[in-house]
Amino acid sequence: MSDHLSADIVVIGSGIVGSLAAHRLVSQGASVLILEAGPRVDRGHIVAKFRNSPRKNDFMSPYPPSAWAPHPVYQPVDNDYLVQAGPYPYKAEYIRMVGGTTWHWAAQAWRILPNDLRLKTLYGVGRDWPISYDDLEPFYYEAEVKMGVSGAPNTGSPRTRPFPMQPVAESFLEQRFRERLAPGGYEVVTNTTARNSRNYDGRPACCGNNNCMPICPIDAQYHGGLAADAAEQAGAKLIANAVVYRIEHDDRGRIAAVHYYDPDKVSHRVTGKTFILAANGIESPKLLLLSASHRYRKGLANSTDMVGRHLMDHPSNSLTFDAEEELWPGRGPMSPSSINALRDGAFRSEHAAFRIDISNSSQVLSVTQALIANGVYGAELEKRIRYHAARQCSLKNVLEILPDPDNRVVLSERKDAFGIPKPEVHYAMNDYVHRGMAAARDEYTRIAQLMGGTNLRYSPDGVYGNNQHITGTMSMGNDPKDSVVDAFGRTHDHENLYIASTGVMPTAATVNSTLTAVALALRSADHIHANA
Amino acid sequence: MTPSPTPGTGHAAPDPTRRLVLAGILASYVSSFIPWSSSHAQARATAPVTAPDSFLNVSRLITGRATLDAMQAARLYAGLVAAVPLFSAQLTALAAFAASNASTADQLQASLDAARAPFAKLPGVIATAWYVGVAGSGAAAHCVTYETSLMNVVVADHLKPPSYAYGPYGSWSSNPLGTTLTAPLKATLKAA
Repeated sequence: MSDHLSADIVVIGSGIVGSLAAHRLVSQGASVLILEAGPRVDRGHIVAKFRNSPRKNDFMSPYPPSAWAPHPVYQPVDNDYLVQAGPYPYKAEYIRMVGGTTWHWAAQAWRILPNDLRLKTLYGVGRDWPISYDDLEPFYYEAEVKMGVSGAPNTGSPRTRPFPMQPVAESFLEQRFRERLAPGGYEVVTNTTARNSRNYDGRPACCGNNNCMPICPIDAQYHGGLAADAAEQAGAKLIANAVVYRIEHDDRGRIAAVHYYDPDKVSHRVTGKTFILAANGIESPKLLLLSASHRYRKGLANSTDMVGRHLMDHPSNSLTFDAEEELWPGRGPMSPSSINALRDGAFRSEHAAFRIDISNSSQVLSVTQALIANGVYGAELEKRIRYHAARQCSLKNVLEILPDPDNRVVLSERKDAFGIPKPEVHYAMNDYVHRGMAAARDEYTRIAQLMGGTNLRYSPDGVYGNNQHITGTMSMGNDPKDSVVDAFGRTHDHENLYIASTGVMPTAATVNSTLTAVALALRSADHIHANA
Repeated sequence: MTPSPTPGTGHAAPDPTRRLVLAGILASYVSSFIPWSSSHAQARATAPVTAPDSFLNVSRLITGRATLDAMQAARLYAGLVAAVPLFSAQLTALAAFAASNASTADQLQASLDAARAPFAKLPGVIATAWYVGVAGSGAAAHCVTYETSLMNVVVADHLKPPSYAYGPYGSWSSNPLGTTLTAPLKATLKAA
């Protein structure tokens, strides 16, 4: 080992959260080094991989894991990276490469609601956040400007300044849902998204490629690769294929260095003044647990055994149906609109809140596969492909699961190719979730009726999809007994170690977690700069 | 609902000349992503000049199309032979079954299931190749076609294959029944 890598700020993980924190700090004059476990891959190659993929509905298909920084994939066979301890499967998907998991996302960039931060006080469930919505608001706006967020004002989340962009133009499908659902009392809201409704920051307006997941071919939507590019252009140094496997502390409990393997498993040591762990809600707690020492036998930042606990995501149930009229989903963005009315209310003391997401994804592949599976061929096949592709719609919810210390990430006894323990997840659903799912199902039925729907197909009871919004595993709080980081994202145990991640969110709320994680990370960066 | 060519965009009616120039730029841009390099090229390299008559006859039955693109048929056939165990033998048996039973597309699957034919799943495999563009299943599956897969061709007046631009910003707001797309990547049809 001959290199002497050092920086004021060392960021572990180059996803959207870590990279935008890095961008802020390097822009303020700090030297910043970003370590990314996975490789660099450019957009053109990802698009080519998508078009060549035999599984175009598998969003991980264009993102095969590297040998040295594996991530979970489940098709065509489970690579057994994320070990399932049960009782409920938690098949999280994430991407270990420069830019991280937001290479594939629907770009939904929602703010949470003020009441989401006061769940315990208002409804007697979950936990309160150590900060208020007002603490977060200026950083939400900063994140929205960096990411290029478009949205409508009727989201329920207060704002002091308008969105950087107007909401993305409604698809025809979205218009018809809005018009037909209004008499039933449903307000259909255009989603808040990091998607361009005009040319913005050197990137084009959306052209309706209907491929937001797994890859926007034209960068009309923001992603972590762009965040990493911005950090590097501002002066940060980024080392790809650097698999951090240990965080080293000194005698005072401060972090002194991190150690990483390159793809040849040669070890390198990186020193710094301040460290930001931004390797996502599963890999970050894994790394803290891996870094156990004689002094910190349970792992770093884990003196109260909270690291990895309170794992949350957004489980979903769904309804697929045929609308009365031809709507032709597949024109415009994939996920354009929502019903927000059930994101908050007194019912939260009894059952989970949720957002209802209206899909505009092309149905051509799924209806074709279903018809062929039923032995439909010839002219009838083509006739029915057209019929169902024009009418098939789907609804799903994004539902709040409460923090439970027994839902957690731990180290598995199984190891990856480098001999590093794999993450193991323990996950369960409770009646609070099931009751929320039942309430959502009732809403779906009403919505389908208003759309003149037929051929209603509900997802099976008790079988929920996952949304890859990994939260809670390094929760923020004022009391170290039930949290890992303080209100600024600094670990209670190590004064120069911060966490930037969806994993610091104490509750999951009912919206996609990325924008909130970025806002929290920018607030952490502000705190680091102010205390440098 | 107010159908119009470009509702909600605030844009003036498109200038045909400008649109032609933009289309050219977009075509160049899009073509830089067309993944001819991997599966396409491999399939071409290994594809026979023509697919056998048994494959074409069964394919006409399954698709209900009298005319199928010869090159696409050859590439799909080569892909299926490579990905599906015993494909050639099962194809021969299926072709014979269809001929001797005077099968129609509507009753093909029911006839095969009733006869407990060991090749009963083959029509679905062939249909998947033509419509989805995928030969084989599971870990053996590979993509042979995308833009010219028949599921995309069938809806090409209303939809582009995902990842291809639908059109200028906001063009998706119009009523699809009042909008007809020009197929972006027309297959060069050569009768097989």
